Amino acid sequence: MTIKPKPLSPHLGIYKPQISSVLSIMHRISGVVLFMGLIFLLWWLVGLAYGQDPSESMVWPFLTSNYGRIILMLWSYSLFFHACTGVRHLLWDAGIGFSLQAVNFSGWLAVAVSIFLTIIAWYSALQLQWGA
Amino acid sequence: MTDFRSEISKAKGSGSAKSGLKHYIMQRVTAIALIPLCMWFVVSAILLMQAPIDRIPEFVVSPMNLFAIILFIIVSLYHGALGMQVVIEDYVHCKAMKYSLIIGVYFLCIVSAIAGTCSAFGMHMFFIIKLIG
Repeated sequence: MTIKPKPLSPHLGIYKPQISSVLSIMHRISGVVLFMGLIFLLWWLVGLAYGQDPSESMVWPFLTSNYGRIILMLWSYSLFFHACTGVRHLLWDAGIGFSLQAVNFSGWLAVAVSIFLTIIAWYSALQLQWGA
Repeated sequence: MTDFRSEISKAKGSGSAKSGLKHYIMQRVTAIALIPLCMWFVVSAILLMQAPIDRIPEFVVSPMNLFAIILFIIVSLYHGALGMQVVIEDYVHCKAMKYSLIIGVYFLCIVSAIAGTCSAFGMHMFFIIKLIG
C-alpha cells in the first residue's frame, strides 16, 4: 500500500521576497559562481604560463569577444557583490548591525556599493592608460 | 589555538556536520585575509588589462606581485572549498554522494592551487631570467 504524500504548506511560492532573504541566497549563489569562475581563471593562467601564444588557442576569439567580456563582467560583479555582502556578514559576526533598520539599510547599501564598484572597475579597465 | 569544543560534544559528534567550529573560524579568517588580497587582485587585473604588452614583464618580475598572487590563489581556494562544503552539506543528503563531492572539491582545490602556484612562479622566473640574460 503506497502512502500518499502529505500536503505541505506553500512557502517559496507565497512568501514576499525581502532584502534579507534575497541577499542571503544571492550571497550563496555568488559564492558558487565565484568558485567555478576562479577554477576556470586559474587553469586559464596555467595555460598562459605553459601553452603557446594564447591568441592562437581555440578559446581566444570567444574570450576577447563581447560575450566573453560580458561573462567576465558578470563574474566581477559576483566578486564585488560577494565581498560587500561578506563584509556585512563579518560585521554581524562582530555584533554590529542587528537591528531591523540596520539590516535593511546595510542590505541596500551592499547592493549599491557592489554595483558602483563594478562600474568604476570596468570603466577604469577599459579607459585607463598605464603610466598616464 | 585551542579547539573550543567540549570533550563530550566531540565524543557525541554533535551537529549535522559533526564538527564545525574550526570550519566556521577558518571561513571568517580567510574572509578577512581576502579583503586586502581581493583589492590587490582587482587593481592588478585592471592594470594588466590596460598595460601595453611590453610593460607586462615589469608586473610579473615583481616579487610582491608573485607573493600576492600565490597567497590569493591559496586563500581564495581554501575559502571556496569551505564554502562549497557547506553548500554540499545543505543540499546533498545521500551520504555517499555528499562525502565524495566534498572530498572531490578539496582535491580540485589542492590540484588547482599547486597548478596555479607553479604557473605563477614559472612565469616569474622566466621573465627574471630573461631580464638578467
